[in-house]
Amino acid sequence: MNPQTATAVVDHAGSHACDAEPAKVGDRCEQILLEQLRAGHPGAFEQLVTAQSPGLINLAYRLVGNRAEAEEIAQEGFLRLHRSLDGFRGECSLSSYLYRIVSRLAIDHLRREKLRRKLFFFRRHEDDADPLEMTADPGASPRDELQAKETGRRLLAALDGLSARQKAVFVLRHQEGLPLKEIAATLKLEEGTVKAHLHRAVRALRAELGDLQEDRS
Amino acid sequence: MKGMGEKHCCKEDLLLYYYDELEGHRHRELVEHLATCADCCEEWQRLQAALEQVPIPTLKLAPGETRLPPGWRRGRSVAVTASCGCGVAR
Repeated sequence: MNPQTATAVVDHAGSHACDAEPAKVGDRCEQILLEQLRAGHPGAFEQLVTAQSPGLINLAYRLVGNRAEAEEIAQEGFLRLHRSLDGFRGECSLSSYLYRIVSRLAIDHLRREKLRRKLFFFRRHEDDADPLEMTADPGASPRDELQAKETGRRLLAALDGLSARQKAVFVLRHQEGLPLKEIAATLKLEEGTVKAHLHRAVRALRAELGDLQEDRS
Repeated sequence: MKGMGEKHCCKEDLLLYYYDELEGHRHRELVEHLATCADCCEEWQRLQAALEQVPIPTLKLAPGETRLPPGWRRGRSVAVTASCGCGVAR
């Protein structure tokens, strides 16, 4: 899900707005949805959750690597939006706002998790789903599949070794497709800092692949 | 990126180019340089190959997993809702 594209979740808002230009329709639908959310319109929040959950849960999952934790983070994101609806001034779309909340929650979670691992040598549960099962190419031969999984596992492990911010920048750019400017706003960082984090993250991943040559520049 | 015709291009620029984030004259210069420099062209291909190997884990969620927990109401205490034991996705 690209949060840049405002999702029109307001089916019950009437069809008049949808005859206009697409950008204006998105804005208008968003405005209507916001008004309905603030008014406690039955079904409005549910529609928002239904539309945004898959993207938000996957975002959190790519950041924290655990399904149950990702669902909890997404839930907390919706709760925080719910709590802050009256103060939300609409300076960005609701989906971007939710992305920001969930990204920051996931970063906080990663930091706590790293600290916990340092303190207690915490290990993830053995029965966690293997994220690579979900990205397997169904057309690949068993040998290629095994090799791709092994590489993927090493790369995900390398991602885990990054700082929370580096990982967030990489996931938001590479896996979520957010522009660097939007990532800067999401993480409250300067764009130059975002670029530096991205560069370091990719350098670490390439070092893991062993294909990194000496810097020539 | 002045004098790029003689120098190799910087890795950060290649990365920004990969993500379509390199703008203006730097974008133009890099494209021109890649067309003539075999070393940088090779580095560009290695970068692309590396990044394409990074998996994008995606959960498949059933319709019931993206609904509000039963009993959610606007204005209802967040603490009550949060403690009902249901995730957003359950």
